[in-house]
Amino acid sequence: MDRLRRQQPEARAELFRRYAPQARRILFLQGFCEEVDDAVQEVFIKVYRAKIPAEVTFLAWFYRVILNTGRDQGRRRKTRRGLMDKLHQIAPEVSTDAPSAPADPALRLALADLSPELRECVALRFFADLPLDAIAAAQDIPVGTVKSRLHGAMKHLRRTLTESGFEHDG
Amino acid sequence: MADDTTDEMTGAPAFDDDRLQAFALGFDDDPRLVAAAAADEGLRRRLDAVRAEVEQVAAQVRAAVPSPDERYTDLSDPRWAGLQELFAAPPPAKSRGRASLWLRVLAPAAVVLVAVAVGLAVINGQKSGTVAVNSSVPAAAKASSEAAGPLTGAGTDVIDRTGDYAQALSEQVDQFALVVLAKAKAASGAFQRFVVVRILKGHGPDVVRLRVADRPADTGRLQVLFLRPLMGGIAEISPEPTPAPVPSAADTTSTLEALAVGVPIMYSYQGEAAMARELPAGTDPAAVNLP
Repeated sequence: MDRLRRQQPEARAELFRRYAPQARRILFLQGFCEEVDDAVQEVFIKVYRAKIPAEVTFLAWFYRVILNTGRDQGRRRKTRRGLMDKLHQIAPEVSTDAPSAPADPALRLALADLSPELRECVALRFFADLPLDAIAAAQDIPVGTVKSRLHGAMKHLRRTLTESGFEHDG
Repeated sequence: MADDTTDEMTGAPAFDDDRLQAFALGFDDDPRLVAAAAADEGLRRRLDAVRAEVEQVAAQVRAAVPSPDERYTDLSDPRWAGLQELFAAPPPAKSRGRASLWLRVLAPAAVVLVAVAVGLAVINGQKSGTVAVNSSVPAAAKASSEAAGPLTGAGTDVIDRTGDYAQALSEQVDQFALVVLAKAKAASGAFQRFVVVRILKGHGPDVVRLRVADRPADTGRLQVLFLRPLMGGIAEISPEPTPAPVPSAADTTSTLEALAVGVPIMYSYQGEAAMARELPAGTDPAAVNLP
């Protein structure tokens, strides 16, 4: 972290290599699809130019930068429509009668139907594997609200999976 | 399917789907649920089913986003061109940078500015009789003068109407190795380009790129650029007349009047102080001559 504060190029490169793919996934799921690499670049420009916070709060701050960048971009470019289109594009040509893991088109559409706040929660939980308190810090909300959002999102997605014919073992 | 365990007060299922999902998501340890599931085969199956669904949803969510290509974190990839400047070596400490800037640019600029202001005051004095320098020195020049320390006779003394334009210009020009007539292009960031129309003194390029020190010159206007200061000349600067060049023929009076009123614009050129002085609109470049 000290090396990052001293603006050492190696530290910056290390941060990029470690977190760029994750930032990309979160931004993608936020709905910023068409130019997601530009958004990733914007995230790291902001981070490199910012005053680096204390280590204990760094990750929450870093994810907040990602989320805010995605929100800003989304506001500018009507990303919800973009996500819908993208999810349609990347969905495989399969019948809803025969869903196949791991590419269920119904679930992708259900993801697109989630509110941005719920989608952010899902992204931070399943892409970044953040604990609840870290998600709360990144979204600047109470832990209880994180639970509520994740719970609501998961119910919606599970229902979609079940209705699309997903069968689990047991 | 009925719940095997119910709330004693309400009779509602104590381990409903929401509670199972919360447990599957890791929100709570829920030892009561664990104990009940251990003792109840039906509850255990329900819990396993919810867990499987949660895991499946998580896998589907991850699968919904295409994986990045293998070169994604290769910082030499053109897609990350915007990050390259941020991977350069960190800038030097601020204090050193400021000191360097002061020594290389601002201090010589301040001295030149004071010299020019004094010269212009003399020109004014020559036009309208005796003039107090203090009242004709532009505000910026006053500030620079104060910053640079007192100059003999330049602060409050009254300067007589002496010398001629040619002599004053000659002394001004002597302080710079390169003097050109140039037209200002639009400023771009911290820099402004000037297309050289005529070289009045020295040898220089067709286009000069100056770093703006205070503000850019107006686009398209003809300027006299004083470049590459001769340090000896500046160090020995005196409160003698040091005005701008003299257009010839009938334009002389109006041109000098405009120059006297205007504030010189300070730049740096290749790390050294530089100065631009705007000539009146319509000035014929061919009519501007050094003595």
